[in-house]
Amino acid sequence: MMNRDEESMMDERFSIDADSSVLQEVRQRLEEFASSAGFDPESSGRIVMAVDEALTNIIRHAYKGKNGGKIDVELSAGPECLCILLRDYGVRVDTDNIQGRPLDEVKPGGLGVHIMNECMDSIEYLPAVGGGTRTVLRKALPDCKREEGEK
Amino acid sequence: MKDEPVRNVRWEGDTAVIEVEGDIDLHRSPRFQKGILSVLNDKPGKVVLDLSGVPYMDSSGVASMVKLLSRTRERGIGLKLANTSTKVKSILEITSLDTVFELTDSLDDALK
Repeated sequence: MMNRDEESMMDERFSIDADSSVLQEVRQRLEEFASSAGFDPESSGRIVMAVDEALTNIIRHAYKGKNGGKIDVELSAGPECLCILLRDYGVRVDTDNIQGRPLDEVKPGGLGVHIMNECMDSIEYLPAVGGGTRTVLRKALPDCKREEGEK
Repeated sequence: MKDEPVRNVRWEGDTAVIEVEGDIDLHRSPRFQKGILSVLNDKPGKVVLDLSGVPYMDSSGVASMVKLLSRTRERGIGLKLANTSTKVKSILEITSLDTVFELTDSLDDALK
């Protein structure tokens, strides 16, 4: 399950099992974090949606749905943006193949990447030292929160 | 989180009202899909998915509903989604499926 090894108000790190049964707990924690960083409920919900899809992709593709894998999660906020880093130790992704599909065709599947792109400002897939991938999702902080930080 | 996403299936005439409960994500969508598709075996004239008990749905849950939509269209069966939460509406809007599915704000409207 979830192991918390470091936490401060605007910086949290924890590790989770690469298992879909932990997703609900992670969503709840992310929503609280985004909300405390200044995002309104709608924006927080969209951030949660994007990270949930990223975690789903890691479980499905990097770990191929097998149990026993680990994902390190790092949440940080400020001064300009909310940043979520997901570090997996699974099969490295081929970034050329990560693309959302056109939505004009109504069919199941292939929606996750589109959701991530719609909900976040940027997403990076970086090879991690020792294997695996670092998925980095960023979203600019709401204006009011940024202005507070400038004071 | 409840174990079975499909809490109950009840009938209003030839309409199957499928009551769904809990978050529908990667963990629960396989059972959600199995539950909603199995209702088609009873040959309903219409299907209503009552989503009032679903606070959250991810793309795997949406994919299951698209599969249901495809099967119902093949068989000439009407499908409506009733009582979608803000978050479920949001994912349908982001994926441009809010205009593909017929959404209603109440079960009464869905049964009309």
